[in-house]
Amino acid sequence: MITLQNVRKDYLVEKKSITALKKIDLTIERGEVFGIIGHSGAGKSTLIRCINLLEKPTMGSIIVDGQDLTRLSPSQLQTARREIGMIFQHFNLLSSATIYENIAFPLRLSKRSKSEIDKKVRDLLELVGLADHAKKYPAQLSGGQKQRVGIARALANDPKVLLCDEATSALDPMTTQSILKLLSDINKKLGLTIVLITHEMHVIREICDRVGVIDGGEIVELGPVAEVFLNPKQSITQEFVEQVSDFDFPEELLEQYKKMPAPERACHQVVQVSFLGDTTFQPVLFQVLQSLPVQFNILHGTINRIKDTPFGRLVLEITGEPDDARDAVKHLQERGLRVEVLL
Amino acid sequence: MDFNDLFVNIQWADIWTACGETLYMVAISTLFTALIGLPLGVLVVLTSPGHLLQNRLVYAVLSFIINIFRSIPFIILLIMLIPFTQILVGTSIGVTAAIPPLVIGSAPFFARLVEVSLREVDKGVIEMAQSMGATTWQIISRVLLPEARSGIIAGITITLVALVGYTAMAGVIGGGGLGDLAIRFGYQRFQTDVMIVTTVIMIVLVQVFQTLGDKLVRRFNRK
Ligand SMILES: Nc1ncnc2c1ncn2[C@@H]1O[C@H](COP(=O)(O)OP(=O)(O)O)[C@@H](O)[C@H]1O
Ligand SMILES: [Mg+2]
Repeated sequence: MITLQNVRKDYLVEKKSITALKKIDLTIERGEVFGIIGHSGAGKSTLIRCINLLEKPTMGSIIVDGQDLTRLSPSQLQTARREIGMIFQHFNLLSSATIYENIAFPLRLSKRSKSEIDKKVRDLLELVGLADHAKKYPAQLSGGQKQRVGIARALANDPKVLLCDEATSALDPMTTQSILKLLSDINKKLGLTIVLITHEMHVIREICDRVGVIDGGEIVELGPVAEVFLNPKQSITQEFVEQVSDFDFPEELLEQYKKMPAPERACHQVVQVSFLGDTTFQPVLFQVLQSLPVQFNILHGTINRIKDTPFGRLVLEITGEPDDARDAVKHLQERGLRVEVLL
Repeated sequence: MDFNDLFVNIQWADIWTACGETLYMVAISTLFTALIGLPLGVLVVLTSPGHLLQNRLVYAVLSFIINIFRSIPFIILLIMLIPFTQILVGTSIGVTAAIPPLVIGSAPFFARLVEVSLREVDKGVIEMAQSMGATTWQIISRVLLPEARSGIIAGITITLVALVGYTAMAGVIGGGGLGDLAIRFGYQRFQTDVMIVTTVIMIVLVQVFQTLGDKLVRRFNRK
């Protein structure tokens, strides 16, 4: 749906060139929710603003739905932009217009008929749950409500793509949840491709299918969210994953095993097991116990969700002959679990 | 002493005529000031660095012209423009002849006020419009002007009030009006009563304009 090829962006600041994006190659599939996470100044906003050419890339091409936006004339670009909705951190609503008029704004730009506009606006007000607020002005709404207006407005032209520039960063946690849920619903209901940028990992975990980690103007890690979550490769990715980790395994627990005399130690293994998807709720441990003379002792554990996928993490003590313990680990891995030996 | 003795010099008919002349000059020149100053202010903002139609040359030239006219004292402008007025309206004296200098004196001033209120429009909102495929004209007419509306109305009010003062000098070229009456009778002939009455009427006019303007500003301010 969206392809960025060899995209580079330099800003000229006081005659000095600053490279905001080094060399971005990225493909975003139709219908997916794609997240980009990075620290402040990493180039997130520049990247997302390149997608609708609010920022013109210094080099490279931006292909949206088969069309290279960098090759369009200004008026062709205006038409192409109507297929790409955008929402903003600070909502960017027209303060002088009612909620109704704000949502009608893109429709008026494309000169739709009055009755068409009215129908569309009412549908959208319904969709975002603001039907009772049509006549109010933005100043009379809460932050979450303003973002709902922003979303409704972005959807008015039935775009194929929705770009979200830190859409929840100005909102409190509760409101953030409700906005993310709305975006997720829209993605499912309308099959809209969503690209969002954020510096908060929980946003990624909540609604994204895939995530790219951006650092210093480069995508340093990319993959399905669950994979990146469970197996972060770059240290910056690990940092982000830490942000939302509710898995605080007390390291002291390992101390008692370290103090054991060697022969006894050999019969105790401590492993961390990660379940993802269906295996989370399957009696995997029980099946292994039945086939091998080992014992499991659960030291620590959590179950959580990555978007709609449940995942769990356990720290297990496996007691038994070293060979049997090794086989137990192998069995678990064969059933599709990620097993990491801690001790 | 009779109440009327306090106002021995007052010719009410003259006062009302002068009142009408002042209102006429203020109304027509405000109209033209808005018609010239508004696009001028919009153009200055749009051509300024980093804006939609940025253009160093146009911006510099417009800015320069505006500053020149803003720095010439009105009384001098009034005289300097006599030949120009002659060509434009066919006469260089009288109420109508006062209008071109009034407009040229106040349009650059109003353009600056427009500029200030347009600059207060959130950049993010302009960007939003661009992201939705708005043309430059649509951004001006559907974003910049509506968002700056209350500021522009405040600017018109300020201009209107300033024009009441400027018209007082129009007497120099036979423009007439309240100010002229105050100077010719009140000041030069020591008719204090004329001075007082005309001044009071001008104060009332200014109060009325300002109050109406403030009301409109409040009505349109949704911030
Ligand atoms: N309009 C601009 N002019 C000059 N430099 C900019 C501009 N926008 C962004 N930059 C620079 O580009 C880099 C990336 O910025 P940005 O994309 O805004 O990062 P993020 O959104 O991840 O915080 C930063 O170093 C920033 O200073
Ligand atoms: Mg940013």
